[in-house]
Amino acid sequence: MNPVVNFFRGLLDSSDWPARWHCGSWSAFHGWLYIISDLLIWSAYFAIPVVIIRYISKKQDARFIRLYFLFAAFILACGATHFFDAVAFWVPLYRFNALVLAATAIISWLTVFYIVRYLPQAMSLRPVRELELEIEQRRNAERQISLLNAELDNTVARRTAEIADYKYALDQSSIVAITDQKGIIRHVNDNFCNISKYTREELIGKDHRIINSGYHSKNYIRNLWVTIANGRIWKGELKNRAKDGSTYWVDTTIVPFLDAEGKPFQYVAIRSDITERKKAEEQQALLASIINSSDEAIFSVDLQKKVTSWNHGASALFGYAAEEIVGREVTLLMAPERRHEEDVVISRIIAGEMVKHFETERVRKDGTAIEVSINASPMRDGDGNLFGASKIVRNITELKRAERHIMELNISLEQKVADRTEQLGAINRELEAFTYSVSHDLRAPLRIIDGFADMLLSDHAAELDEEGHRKLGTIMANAQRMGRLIDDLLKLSQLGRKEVVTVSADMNKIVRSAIDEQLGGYADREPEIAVESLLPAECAPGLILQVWGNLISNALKYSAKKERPKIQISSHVSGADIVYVVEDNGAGFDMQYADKLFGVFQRLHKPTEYEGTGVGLALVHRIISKHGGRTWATAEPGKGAKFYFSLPAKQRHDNEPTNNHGTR
Amino acid sequence: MEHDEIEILLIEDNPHEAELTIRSLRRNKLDGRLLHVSDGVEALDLIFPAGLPDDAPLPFHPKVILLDLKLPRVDGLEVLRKIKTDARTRMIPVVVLTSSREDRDVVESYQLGVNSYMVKPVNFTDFSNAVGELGLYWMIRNLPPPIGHKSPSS
Repeated sequence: MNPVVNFFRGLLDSSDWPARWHCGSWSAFHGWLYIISDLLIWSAYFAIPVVIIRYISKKQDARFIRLYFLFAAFILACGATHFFDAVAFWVPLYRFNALVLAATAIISWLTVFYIVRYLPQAMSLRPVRELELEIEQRRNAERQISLLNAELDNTVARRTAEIADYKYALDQSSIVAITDQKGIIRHVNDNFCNISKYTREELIGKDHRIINSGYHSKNYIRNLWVTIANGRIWKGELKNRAKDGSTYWVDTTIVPFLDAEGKPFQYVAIRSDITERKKAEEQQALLASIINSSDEAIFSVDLQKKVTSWNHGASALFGYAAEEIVGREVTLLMAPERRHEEDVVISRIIAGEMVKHFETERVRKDGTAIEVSINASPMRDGDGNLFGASKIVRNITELKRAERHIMELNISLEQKVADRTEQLGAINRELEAFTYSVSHDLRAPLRIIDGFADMLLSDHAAELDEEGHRKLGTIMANAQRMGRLIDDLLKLSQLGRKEVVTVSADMNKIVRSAIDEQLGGYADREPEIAVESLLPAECAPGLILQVWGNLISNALKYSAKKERPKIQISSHVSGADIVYVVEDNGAGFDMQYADKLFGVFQRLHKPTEYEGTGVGLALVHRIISKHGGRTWATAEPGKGAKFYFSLPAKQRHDNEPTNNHGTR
Repeated sequence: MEHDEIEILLIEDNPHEAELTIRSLRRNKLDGRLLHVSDGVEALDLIFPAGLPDDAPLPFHPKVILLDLKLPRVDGLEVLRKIKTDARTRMIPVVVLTSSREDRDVVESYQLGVNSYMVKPVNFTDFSNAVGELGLYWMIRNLPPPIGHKSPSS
């Protein structure tokens, strides 16, 4: 039998030995001291690994864990030897005991091996005190670090807040956009959106040229890009286009942000809206160009009479270029005896007044004098402080010359009018003398012819035969006819010199007396004259009586040869006139001669047919014309004629009744 | 015929006109005491004889003066003015006998105080009748002012 095999077969066999209590002589005290001590050692050795395991399990960063376990196993094994030593008092398992001892021995040596191996390392672990000291130092350092950290946090927070404030301020004050190095928009602020009228979403990711207005030259834009691409800041004014097509001006600063290699990786553009200023500048430029291109001389002076600006018109008018006169006294333009005028002008300007159309004389650079009209107005700065005067000077030399010319013309015209009036007066006086002499001198010989023929006829009747009577009769008839012609002509000429004084007249009454006058010679065969109720008119009754007389006598004369002469007189309103009509059923006339009817000495019938001088209708025409009316006639040969005349329903009152001896 | 017997003074420059006037008056037998002078100077010399003091009574006082206006040297209106401005002659009736119907003649004559103004018709028959009537009126119908009585001076 192999002893080793027997050993393991009888490992738990106690039959080979008596219980220890029965081996030797154990007093109870001795035995129990032995047993209890063994159990206490075993329990203590059992407790130690439990504590170690617990400790390790709690302390995760513990080093040499294997050693701990080995140590725990070593202690546990030592304990187990004591346990089985105590158990041997009752159950003598010496084989098992020996196995446990062997295991304990192995573990113990393993432990020794480990300790030998790791002790130097374990020895390097600093002592607790040192560690504590270090811990203390570390704690202090940590405290300091955390203080510093807090301070740093504080600073960072403060700086962050500051940066936020700057950003806020920038966002409030400026139009900000950030683009990458290719010009693609990466960020825009609200101001940018507001002014460009695009939303942020429409802008981000877009090329910056979205707001390009196309206003600037290629060179200008190229210069911009070259500048920022080289990492330099670009400043300038840009005109951009908003989404709705309107344009705006921005004062722009573009700052390139450079990477570690010094290459720009993004650009920050900070702009401010200068559209209003630009507009004002444009307006100002426009005004300046208007002023400069004006033909009027426009310039300004300060309160010390020094010229401060000078436009082209002024150069053209006075012959001085702006460089020659700006800064010099404006009295340069004045003859010495007129220099005081500027004091007057300036004192009025200082009093806040304007000087308007001040006409005076000025001297050009070449020494010639020009007549000018000056307007001067006070110029004030933004605070209302007077700092000078603007002057607009107009050359009125030609105007004045023309005025003088017109005046001379007027004078000569007046002279001409006076001369003509004088000539007319002379002609009139001659004419008057002529009619006066006609009146006096032409009638007398006729009367003498008629008178002497009559005397011959009565004194020498017996000596004359019938033919002699006839011839004398012809002489007398013609003398008398000549007399009537002269009388009528004189009437016509007198009428030309008479003023027409109108009154409101009863036309029926006038016509009645005209008929009475004319019917004197028709006692035997009274013609039929029908008179309608006539409209009244404003007229000179004496003259209108003559008109009616002539028209009625004409009607009577030309209808006298009819079986039943018939005359009709009527009136009607026509527009603003009253028209009176005398109609007869007499000889009438051919209408182709109607225009000759009212001319002097115009007759449509032979004197042998109808008696007449040819003045009657001319007189009618003259009288009616003087009343502002018209005369006309219609007729048919053999059937009768209608004679019309019109009078204004209301007379113009430029002929107020005057005490004129000619109308008595 | 003495001056103080003259009843009609005819002042007329044209002898033929004068002849017609006188013939017309003769038809009514009014030409007997008629004196015809042919211009204004002659007429004034007759009415206001030279050398007579201003206030001396005048020797000549016809019943009517027939005055033509257009006269050589001193014209009719001037003669009329002299007669009508002298207190001694003012009351002598003066009739203008003229061819003129010019207003200014008529008006001025009346302003100077003419007693009648007649425009001579060209027709001799009418003329003769008119002058006849005129003569009859002034010589027979009209009562002349008393001779030698001076009108109060104005």
